[in-house]
Amino acid sequence: MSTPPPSQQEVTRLLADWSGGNEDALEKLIPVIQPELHRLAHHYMSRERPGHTLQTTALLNEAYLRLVDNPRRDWQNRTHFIAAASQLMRRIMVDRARERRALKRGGDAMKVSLDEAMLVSEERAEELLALDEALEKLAAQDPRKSQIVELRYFGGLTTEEAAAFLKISHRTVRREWRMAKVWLYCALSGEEPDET
Amino acid sequence: MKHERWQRLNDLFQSAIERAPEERPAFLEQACQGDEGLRRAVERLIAADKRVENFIESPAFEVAPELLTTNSLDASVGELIGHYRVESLIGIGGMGEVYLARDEQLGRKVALKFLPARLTADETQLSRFKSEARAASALNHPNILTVYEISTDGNRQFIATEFIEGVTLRASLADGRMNLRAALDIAVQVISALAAAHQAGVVHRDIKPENIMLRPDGYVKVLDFGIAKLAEEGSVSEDHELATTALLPTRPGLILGTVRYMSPEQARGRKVDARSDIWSLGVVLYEMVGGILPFPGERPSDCIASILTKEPPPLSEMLPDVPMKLEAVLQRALRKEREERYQTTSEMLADLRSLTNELEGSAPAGRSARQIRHYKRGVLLMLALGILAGAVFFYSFFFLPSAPSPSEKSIAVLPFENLSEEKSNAYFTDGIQNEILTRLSKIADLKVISRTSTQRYQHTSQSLSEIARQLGVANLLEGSVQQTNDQVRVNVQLIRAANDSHLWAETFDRRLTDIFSVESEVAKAIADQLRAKLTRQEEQIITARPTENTEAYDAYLRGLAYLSRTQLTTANTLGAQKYLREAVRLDSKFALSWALLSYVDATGYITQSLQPTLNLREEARQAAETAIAFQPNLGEAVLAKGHYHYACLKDYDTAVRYFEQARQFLPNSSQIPELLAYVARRRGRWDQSESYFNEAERLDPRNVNLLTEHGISYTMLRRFPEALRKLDQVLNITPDDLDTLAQKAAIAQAQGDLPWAAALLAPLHPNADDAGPMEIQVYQAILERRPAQVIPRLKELLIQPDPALGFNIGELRFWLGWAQEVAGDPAAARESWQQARNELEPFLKEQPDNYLLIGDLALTNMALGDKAAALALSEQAMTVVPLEKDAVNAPFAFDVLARVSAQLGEPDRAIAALQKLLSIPSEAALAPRVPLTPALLRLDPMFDPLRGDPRFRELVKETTKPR
Repeated sequence: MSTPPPSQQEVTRLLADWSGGNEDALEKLIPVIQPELHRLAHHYMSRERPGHTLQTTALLNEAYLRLVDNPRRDWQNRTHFIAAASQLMRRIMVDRARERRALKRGGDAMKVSLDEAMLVSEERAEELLALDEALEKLAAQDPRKSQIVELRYFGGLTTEEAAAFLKISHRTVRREWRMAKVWLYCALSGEEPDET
Repeated sequence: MKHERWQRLNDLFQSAIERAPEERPAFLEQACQGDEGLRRAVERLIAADKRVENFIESPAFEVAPELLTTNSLDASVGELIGHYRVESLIGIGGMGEVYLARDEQLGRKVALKFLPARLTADETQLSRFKSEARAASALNHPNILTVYEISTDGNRQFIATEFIEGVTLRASLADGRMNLRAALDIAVQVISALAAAHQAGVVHRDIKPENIMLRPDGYVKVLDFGIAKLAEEGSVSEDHELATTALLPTRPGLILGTVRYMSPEQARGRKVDARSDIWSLGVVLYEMVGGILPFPGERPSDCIASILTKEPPPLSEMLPDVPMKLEAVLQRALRKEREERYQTTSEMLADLRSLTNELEGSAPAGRSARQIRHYKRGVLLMLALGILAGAVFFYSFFFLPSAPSPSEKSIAVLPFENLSEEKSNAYFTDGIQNEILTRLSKIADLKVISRTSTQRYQHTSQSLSEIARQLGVANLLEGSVQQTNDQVRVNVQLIRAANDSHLWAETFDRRLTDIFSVESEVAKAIADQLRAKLTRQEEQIITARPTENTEAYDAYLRGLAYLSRTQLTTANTLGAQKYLREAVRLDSKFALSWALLSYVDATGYITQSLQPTLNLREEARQAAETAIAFQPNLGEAVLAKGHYHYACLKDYDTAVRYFEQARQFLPNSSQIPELLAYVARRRGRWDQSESYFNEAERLDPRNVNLLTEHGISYTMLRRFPEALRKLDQVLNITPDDLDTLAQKAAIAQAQGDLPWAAALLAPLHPNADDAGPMEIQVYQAILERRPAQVIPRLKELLIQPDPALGFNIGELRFWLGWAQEVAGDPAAARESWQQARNELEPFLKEQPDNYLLIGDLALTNMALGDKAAALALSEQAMTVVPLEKDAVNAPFAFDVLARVSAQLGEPDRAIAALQKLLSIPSEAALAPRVPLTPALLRLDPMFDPLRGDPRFRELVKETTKPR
């Protein structure tokens, strides 16, 4: 392969910066990663077949291969990329859901649907926003749990991958995940999960 | 929470959860050391742990991919799209976004659905989809969602449809299996929608609970006809490989949702027909009755395998209350080989109906489709529903007690009974009913059926529930009026049709001079009973007194009575005009009566039920302006002004502006969409016109004039099956109606089916003032070339004609001449024509814009061989009704030109005019209501001179085709 396009080098460098603790680097990655995620998601959806399911991991992997310089060199780089992408996924999806809620205001009183799938989708957007909020609260209490949820739920990482990225044991990830799930579940169902 | 405490909660939860359930209480008791708050928190978490299962296990993108794939929304709140103002987002799905919007022209709510660009890129598929969607909607079937418009705004394709308040069958099924009767009721309504669509050649292809809406009043609406086709073909064009596999929308949730209802042939990607819809309905019925799917599967592929290979488990084995007969229906609908299935919807409908009849009186009361509850997103999480759409999470509904839904606020005011000794007081009784109805119809929060529809129930033995069903309302008002001298007793009962129970009843004893107070009190009481919200303006309007003068009011009511007769004949119009003039003479400030007078005049002017003189036009103008001057906010006055601009001036823009303004004051008026339909039709906007017709018919489902005009539109468009359906609807309401039967005969003539036309015309005996049916009958004799039989009758009618017939006398005389000519008596014909010309000419002075009169004169001059005059008059007719200004009347002028040219040796002009005429909607073939068709050209003797012309032979060869 000849000289990689600057954007690839740039992405690689930004990822390294970000994993080194530079939060600004992530902001600079957004305009590069976001359109690629969008394009890939569209592509995945349009060739969807019965019996196949969408795979977040596959999606992010492909984005990584396309965006990052010499991907094989550093497997940790990939994990960083996916960790960054999972944050971005969360941001994009939550923004979209919020946009929708803003639009829906006023029509909320009516339970109207032309297509139940749409209603379901509407519910999903609402629930995603609720989850995002609860996740913020969880982060305030226990940032690691919140991060695990972000990696798994938005980035599609397995327990093992999350553990590799966080440099903690699989077992800890599993324990944290379980507690986080239960806590979020209670928060979303209106039961106060903590003491009252 | 402090960090230490959070940590402790975390540790306790982890430790507890690792212990066996029975050990946990003791462990917590000991570990928490009396810290009750902490213990409760741990217990809550433990309890939840059992329920979390799949919660957030599937990554967000896999659950809600639309939040990543859509770039941004199609529309934003407040945006104007076409003439629709977006109000809010209703939902988003694989097939696009749906918004609630307001039609700015009509002030009504609509649903706007945007189609994904990937599905609309191909012009051919798009137009095929459009024609299917329109065809289904054009059926105006009560169980098919009405499409108002399919249009583009920029590069966005959207569909504007009727806005329905209700829930989908899917939401309703979240409550589990349904009561048998409710399920059958829904199935019957769906299948009647399908029957109508199939008859029109439209297959739905995507029948599933998501596409079936249940309205609170029990009506079922089937959505999205044709859309599935769009998706299907869109995919084919993208990827040819797919043609052999199942073609599916792209979202995982949707995939499974759609696959479950697919027929085996659909799952194999083969061509589908009506029988595929029957299968899908079978699946839906199975699910409604059994609460489970006949062909389950967690993944689409499992589901498809089940559809192709497995037999559904018999419901009656699991559920003892499922009758064997229903089992048989399901089995027959779900045969894998479509040849073994029900072949038509009517077969299945018949079985379902007989099943319903057997159930009558035997089934226990239960959850019924007529009591659909309102579901509301709850706080309760029901993860068991996960199977519903793969990884759907926290998707749940729980219901709240229902509030009165808007469609429960619908009412029809039935004709009141006249209990007065004096039977001629009927007009007074009708007037009171009308006033109450009018006041109610000015309340935007109510749906009020127009008087033209309710009037048909004057003498009927139908049950109230049947009437309510026919009119699509939940409530009925019945009443009686007894008048003795100057005392009036008015008795009214407000009845809820569903259970025939009185919501409210009252008797008012008043002096005659105090009658308005009764009308407003009744209207107010009904509004309260139906919990309608009234604006301050509406409160004022319903308590208003139209006049202080009881005599003037009496005259007004008498005038009104003429207008409620079935057809607006010349005699009825004159009667109404007389009394309305009297009313405004007695009270010159009586705005309502002025408005109605203007309306009557302008209607007479345009329909020529009155002689269309300049004086008539002037009276229409003055009356409308006087009404507005006295009461600028009177809806009827604003409407009259608009109507004057339309009917007398053909100033369409101004007319539409007034109609829109009037709509604010007359929210339930069927007249406004009706008039908008006429305006759109004159402008040649046929699709738009049709959607207005449909709208008007919803508010006024049994208005024969409206239905007739709608039928005329179809006739002009040469959509004969639809035209005949409309006319049959009219005949259901007014059997033996002369004009309607003659109109059916006209369609038979246009199709070249003379024997059928003759059979329809034989029992009719029109008089001279039934000009239309009379001429259709004469035309029939001429087409059959046996005119001798009609000549004596025409002569008889013309011996002492009523002068009120005006120029129609000369017109009939022209027809007499033509009949005589075809009968082989040119001398008699010439004499008739000379007399006709003498009778027609004087009218030209006061009716210079009367295209019919000018056309008659052109034809008479043609018959007399005066080529110059005939051609000049034909040209004049063309300029009076130019096509771009009047798509309804212009074809008549083309027709006259074609005839004159054909007869007077101008074949080129004749052919050109005929070519044009066949390419546009028309009802112009000389006799009214008969559209010119190639079949008719083959028969009409007036075109004999062209028969040798090869271009003419080419024209008559064409099959009749709607534009």
